[in-house]
Parts: sequence; structure tokens; C-alpha cells
Amino acid sequence: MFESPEKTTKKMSPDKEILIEKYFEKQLSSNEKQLFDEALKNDEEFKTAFDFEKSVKDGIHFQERDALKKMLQGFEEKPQKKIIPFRNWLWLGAAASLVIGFSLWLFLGNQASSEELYLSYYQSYPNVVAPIVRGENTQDEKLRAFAAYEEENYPMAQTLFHQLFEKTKEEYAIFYEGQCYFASGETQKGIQLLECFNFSDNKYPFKTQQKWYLALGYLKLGEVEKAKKYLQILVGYENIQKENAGNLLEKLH
Amino acid sequence: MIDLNLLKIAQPEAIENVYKTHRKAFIAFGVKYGLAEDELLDIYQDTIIAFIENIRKGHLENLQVEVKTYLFSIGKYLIFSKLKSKNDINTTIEDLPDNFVWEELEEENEERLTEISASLQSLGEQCYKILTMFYYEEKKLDEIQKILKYDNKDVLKSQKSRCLNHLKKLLKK
Repeated sequence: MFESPEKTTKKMSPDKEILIEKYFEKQLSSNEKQLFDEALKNDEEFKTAFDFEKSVKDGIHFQERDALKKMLQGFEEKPQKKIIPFRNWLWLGAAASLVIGFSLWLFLGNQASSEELYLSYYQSYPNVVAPIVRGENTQDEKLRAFAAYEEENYPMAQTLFHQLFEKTKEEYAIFYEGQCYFASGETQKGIQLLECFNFSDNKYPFKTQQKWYLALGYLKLGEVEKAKKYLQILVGYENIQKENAGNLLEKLH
Repeated sequence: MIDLNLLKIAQPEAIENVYKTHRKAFIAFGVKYGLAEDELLDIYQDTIIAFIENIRKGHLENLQVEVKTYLFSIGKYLIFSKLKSKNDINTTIEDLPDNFVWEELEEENEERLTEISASLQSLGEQCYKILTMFYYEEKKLDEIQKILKYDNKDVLKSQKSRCLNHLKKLLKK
């Protein structure tokens, strides 16, 4: 009713549009409810218009619920990988050759332990930004990047997030580009990218997660002191990784 | 302490927090109904989804009970629905808590819903915002006008109509 005539081929009477609007706003008076029911029964044009809006409502519910479901599934701890105890392996090696020096043993031992800790704590951060509809091919760059990320095609996702950041300067693009590096084992690059970016306080928890992933990244590289520095920041304020950070710190002592 | 205002804007960290806080107790609570852990996890996720949906719709503005109590009563309802769907004839559905609304979407429409949902994503952010606020968060046009800073309600209304028409065209493709 408030749009120009050329926008729609068929125009319903304003009264009827208001009835539909009020239905969705739950504002129909009993009189209007009666008119609404009658129109739904006898007026095909009205019924078509209403059915369409009802299907849009259902479609949005489907989309929002599906997106949240994926987010929650992403928060699930990944199944713990079975870690081959590195020291046992080392012991066999030593027994076989007996040539490994004590200092080298100590060095490898420490490295293995931080690698083990990294493996037991690391999981890629779920897509909380752009829920992807199942089986949909999309041309939208943001959705393409996240679709590649969800399919674990990290090199492709990394390139797409990189282009997206160049274009939009959106923080999430940098954060997830970093995630791609971590997930594909290019930890050093992931650290370089995340360390020099100043995330803002907004709806998304990138500021906290940045510290968490930097701690894990340094742990993976065996740079325990740098990892501890970030963990200590995380235990110092309320955040979602505080408990994990505290546990990890304890294990590093 | 869970801040419902953060859940209202669907802040991921707040969602993760509430999800992780009650997960273990919920599974322990559900086991006695004879469901497997993976089924219970699925139900727990739906419980959180239903809870957040009701917060976003503004139904829980004056929540009088603890979040945990509330979640468990939604969960119980969903567990009973699940048992009923398994043809456990002795089961009656527990009532839903006050002010709580949960409409199941019909499974046979899944293909159509996926189609609409995909087209919604091609609409552009402003349209998605308007339609989500109106049809999902159940905000009135007056409220949306204020939040999205439209000069007047008519401008918003014609924008909403354009969004719906655009969506209709996308669906016809």
C-alpha cells in the first residue's frame, strides 16, 4: 500500500495488508480477527499473501535455529585425539641406540609435552559469524569463505578471508584467516597475523580468543614463556577461556 | 552469572557460556529417562536454542526462576516429546513453562524452508535485519523503526514490502 504501483503487479487493499501486519504483531482485535478469518477463507489473493508471509516467518525460524545449532555443535569439545606418549617412544629409541644425550632428551621431552598440551587443547574456532545453509552454492564472498572454512578447505578459506579483509576491513576476516593458518599447521603465520591486530570489544569474542590462540600457537612452537604471558592475561579477567587458561597454566608449571 | 541482555543480542561468548555451564548437569538429568547420550546432547542443544529464541522474542523479560530451573523445564518438555515420538505410550507431555513459546517447524517442509532460508541470505543485510526483527524477534514496526532509525513508519513499511517482493523473485528463479 505504501509502495509505488509499479513495484507490485497486484496490489491488495490497504485494509487487508494491515490485517496481515496486525496478525504478525499479535494486535488483531476480536472484530479484526473475524475479518481476518473470513478473508483467509474466501479471498484467494489474501490467502496467497498471508501464506507467503507465514512461509517467510517459518523460513527465518529455520535459518536462525539452524545457525544456532551449528554454533552449539561447534562449542562441543572435539573427541580427544589419542596421543602416543612421546616419552615412551623416546625410551624405546634410547634403549635401542643409547646415543641420545641427556640434554637432548630434556629438550625433546619438553617440546613433546607442550605439543601434547597443544593437541589436547586446540580446536578450530567455530563459524559464529555467517551461518551457512546446507548444500547451497553461493556467490557471496563472505559465505564462500565461511563455507570453505566449514568444509576444512583451509588454504581456500585463507585466501578468501584475506581478500575479504582487504576489501572490507572487517575484523572477523582477519580472525578467521588466522584460524585457517592454525588449522593447516602454519602456526607461525597465524601468530604473526593475530599478534599485530588490535581487535575491538564488540559482539564477537575475538579479543579474548586472539589471546587464547596466540597462547596455543606459542605452545605449539615450544615457546612456553610467550604462551604463559597470554595465559596469564586470560586468567586475569572474566572470559570464556579463563578456566581453560588456568588449567593449562597449571600444567605448564 | 548469565546476562540475559547479552543472550538477547545473541552474543556468541554469552551463548557458549550458558551452553557449557549447564551441559553436564543436563545430560546427567536426562539419562534417567532412558535416552542415549547423543540424543540428550541433541535435545540439550535444542533446549538452548528454544531458550535463546524466547529471550530474543522478549518473552522472558521478567524471568523469576534461575536459568538452570528454566532450562531443565524446557528440556523436560523436549525429552517427553522425544519419548512420545518413539511411541512410548505411557508418556504424557509435561507442560511448558509460563510465557514460553516453541513452535515446531514441519519436517516435510524442510526443502522449502531451506530454499527460503538460502534466499534470505542473498537479500542483503538490511532486509535480513528488518525481516528477522519482524517475523522472528516479533518486534512491532514502531520498535523496528526506532531501532533502525527510519524517519517514519511508512518508509520502513515500503522497505519491508520491497524486501518481501525481492525475496519472492529470488524464490521464483
